[in-house]
Amino acid sequence: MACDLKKRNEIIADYLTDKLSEPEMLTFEQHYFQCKVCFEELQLCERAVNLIKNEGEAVFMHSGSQWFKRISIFLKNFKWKLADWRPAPRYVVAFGAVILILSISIPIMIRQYKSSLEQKEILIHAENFKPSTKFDNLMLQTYQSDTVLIKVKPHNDANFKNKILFQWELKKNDLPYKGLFELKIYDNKENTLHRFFVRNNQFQVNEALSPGLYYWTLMTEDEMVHLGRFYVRKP
Amino acid sequence: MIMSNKQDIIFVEKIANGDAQAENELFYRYAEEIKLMVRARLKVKVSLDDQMDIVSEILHSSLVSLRNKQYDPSSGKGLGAYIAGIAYKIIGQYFRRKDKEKKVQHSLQQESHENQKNALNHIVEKERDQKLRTYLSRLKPKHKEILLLRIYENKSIQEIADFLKLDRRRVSERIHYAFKLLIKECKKENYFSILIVFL
Repeated sequence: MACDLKKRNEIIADYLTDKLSEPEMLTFEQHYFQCKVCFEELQLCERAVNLIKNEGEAVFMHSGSQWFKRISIFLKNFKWKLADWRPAPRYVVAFGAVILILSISIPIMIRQYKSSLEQKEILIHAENFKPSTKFDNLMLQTYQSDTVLIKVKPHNDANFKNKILFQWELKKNDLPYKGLFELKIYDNKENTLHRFFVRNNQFQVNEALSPGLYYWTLMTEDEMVHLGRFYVRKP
Repeated sequence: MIMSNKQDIIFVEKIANGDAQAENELFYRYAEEIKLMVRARLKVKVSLDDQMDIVSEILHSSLVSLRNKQYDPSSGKGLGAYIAGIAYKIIGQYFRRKDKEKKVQHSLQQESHENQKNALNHIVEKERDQKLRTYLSRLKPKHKEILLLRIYENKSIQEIADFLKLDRRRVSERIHYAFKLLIKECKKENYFSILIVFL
């Protein structure tokens, strides 16, 4: 007679992994004592279970090399051991304290290191960072201009490494200036380095400038509307 | 294949009449089933000697019971089921005895294949294991993982569900499917018919 047991695989799996209840176990046992098909499959699965129990992951690596097997097992076991690891509370507190101290001290150290680099740079290029008396006096003077700019960037003494973006806006209620702006960049010795004519309200200078102090002016056809200064640091 | 009731009746009558050949056949017919049941039931660590004692006790009790005509074929219960019932009782008695003795013993399952005295049997066993390893290695990683967690790591369904972030039902289904695939692979490779040739 053919075996008509439904869900045989599931019953076998549950039987071997202790998931069946006591009456279910006995019922299945009474069945496989007289059913060769079920018994053969049960024997096979029991053998597989024993192999897995005794050999662990190695049983699944039949085709692989021995070294690969060993390394894989070691890594797998290590991962599981790590997952099961539960540290004592005092270690957790100590670890947390170390992280807190590091998270506070590292940014301070980085900042100090950066500032020391800047100081070093200033010492190396001391000549290029010396302010121009003429330009600085001009910046201190207040003068009346027909065209008033607002939201001017870069702010005075801003620091740059490479690209410099110049921006400005005309104050409202003023008569709009429709001509070209002339943007000039000077070094600290008052030499003109660059000269650009700008139609819009912004301009980006992509040319690399060596570290030092720089001045810049923005002029209309009639007058100078802005004078500012900025630093270029070592990129 | 399930044994027919008619064959059982004739077989039991022979034993009741003291037929030595039929008695031997009883041992051959049910020895493996009894051994497997003992292994499956005794999940605690039990020595191989104790296991063999229980198997012998079950076979002896079955024989005595059949000789005394205690098995009634008309009850509708097959002979195999009747012997399974006897095995169940004997294993239960063993547990009760052990509870009193509280002895520390060795694992049965680990020794079962190592203590084969017969060299030919040993070769056959090794061959079977080797084939099974090949079939197990063909399973998908997710099925290998779940079998390892359940059987090797001895984790509960809930623990596996938490570990793999799966539903409990999905974990059970995956275990069932892993066994199903293994059996399917064995059937495809004619594993069962190879065993018959070996035996």
